[in-house]
Amino acid sequence: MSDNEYKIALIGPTRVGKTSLVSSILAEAQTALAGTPASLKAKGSTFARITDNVNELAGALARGTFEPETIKNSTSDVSIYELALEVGRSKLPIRILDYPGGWLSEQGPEWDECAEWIRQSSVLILPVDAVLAMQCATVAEEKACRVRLQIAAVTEITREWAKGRKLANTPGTLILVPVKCESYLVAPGATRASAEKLQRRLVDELYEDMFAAIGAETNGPDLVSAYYAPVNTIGCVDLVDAGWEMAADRNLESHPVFRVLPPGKRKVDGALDVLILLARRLASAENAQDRSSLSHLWRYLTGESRDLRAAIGRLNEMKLSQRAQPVRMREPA
Amino acid sequence: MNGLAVQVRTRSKVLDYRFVGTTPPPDRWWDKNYRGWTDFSRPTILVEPGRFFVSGIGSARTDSKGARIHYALHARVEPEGRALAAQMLAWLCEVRQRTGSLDEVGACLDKLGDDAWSAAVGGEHGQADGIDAAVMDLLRDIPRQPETGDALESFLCAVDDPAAFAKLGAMAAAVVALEPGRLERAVYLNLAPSSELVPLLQQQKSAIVCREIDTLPKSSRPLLAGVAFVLLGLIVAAALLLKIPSHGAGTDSAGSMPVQRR
Repeated sequence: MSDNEYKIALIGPTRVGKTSLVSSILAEAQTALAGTPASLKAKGSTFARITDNVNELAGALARGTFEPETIKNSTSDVSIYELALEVGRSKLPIRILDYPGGWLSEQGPEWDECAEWIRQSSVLILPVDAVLAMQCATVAEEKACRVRLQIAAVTEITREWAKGRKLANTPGTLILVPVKCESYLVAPGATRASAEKLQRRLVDELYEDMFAAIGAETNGPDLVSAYYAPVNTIGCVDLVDAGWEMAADRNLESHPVFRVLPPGKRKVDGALDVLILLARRLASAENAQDRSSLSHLWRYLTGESRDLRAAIGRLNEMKLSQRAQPVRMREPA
Repeated sequence: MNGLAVQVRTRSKVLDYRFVGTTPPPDRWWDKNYRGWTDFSRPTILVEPGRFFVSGIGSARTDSKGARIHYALHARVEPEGRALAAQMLAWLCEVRQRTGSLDEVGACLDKLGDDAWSAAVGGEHGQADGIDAAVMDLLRDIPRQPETGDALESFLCAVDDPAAFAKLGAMAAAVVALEPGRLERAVYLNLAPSSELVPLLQQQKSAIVCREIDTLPKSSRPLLAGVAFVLLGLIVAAALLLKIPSHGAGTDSAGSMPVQRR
């Protein structure tokens, strides 16, 4: 067994599609590691959760139109996705925190545990609903977009995380991951211009202050790096209607409806970029680990270090797709 | 409270999940003891001596995204509330067995109305005070269940076992009547297969309904390996003991010489 486990936190509002994102990462890891002795696996009950999610998605797609609301209930408790990069008997546990998205703003009594986990996480993943970000034609929709994405709360949480990284002099990676972005990236009608517009909208407009806050806390990009990496967690859908409706809190809420594109089979795309970025952080963290000499000897004798490092190295050396881009963190103008 | 202090966790269209009412929220024992083995947003039944937590109770209400809201019930049980708690648990298990969900229980709680729940979640004055009593009134009217006896019977079975929830209900009634602090439990965990549940199986008197019975629990493997090792050791020792006298007695050693030594 590896001595370490790596903590990752998802910072996403309610029902953005966090489980689908994790299942997408697992699916693309299978392809990326095919033909090697390594594999990324869902461990324990995470396997059951992922299987349920995949089956629910397949069932929803079979109906011809896809409404994200039909997938699963909303999260009510803290849960941990348990993954492991495995080579033979060697394992590198990777644990991803999930929790009710509303806690980002409400921060009730259970939040302390989440905050501590986030503080310890070397990687923050920010899934963002691309439909909310891109389908804003009116002032009310623009306001609703910011409210529903909880941008102010997310900015404060990432600022605290960056501050903690700086204090501990520990590097970290933040990955902004637009999901439900098929219509802007891969569906018929999607163009390079629409893909660039999505990136500009998120990086230069909606989350500009967040990146600036991280930059200000860490004095530059050396300690904390940030990336934009869109993921098509479904692939075979195209937005029909954003479905803005007034909600009980007097803000609009989006109820998007997608048509399913033939052949109606899920085609994950972009999750490999997230996996590569995770591997880069893991590679540097593994190299920096200070282990006891007994542990070094054990790992040398069993070949665990070599096998695991080779697997991480393989992912680490892969190139990011053109869509995934580093984000330059600068002070807002 | 008749020896039964019930608290409900739910959400409104806008505000996320929280315990409603004026009683302080319970400490999250269900999370500490069972996280990772169950998805609390789906039907889950956890019964320990003097308390229970049942979650994934589907409501017809929806949140602002249109997703179905669910309830969780937490109860602390004093001696005078044991009979009612046993009735409630038997009902919950019967509903889960008969319908495959806890939506019927959710429909019962929905009777209080969307506005009342939203106000209670928002902590509005007056609504928060009354919600606990209103819930208790609803729960006192649940269909009467037959007595199940109070035998503590350990078992492990899969959720698709036709008798799973009948057995669980009987065990739950017995467990909840025990003094707090004991280790017995009656639980339905919706994610974990049997091989993941070793820590629970090692404890005394556990009734567990799990996702599936897959392999022999992992803790049994080292045990079996240990037994096999001891048996092998005994065989080797016996063989050595049998060999030593044959040399010492000076009998026909050629006949007992191993073939490979020739």
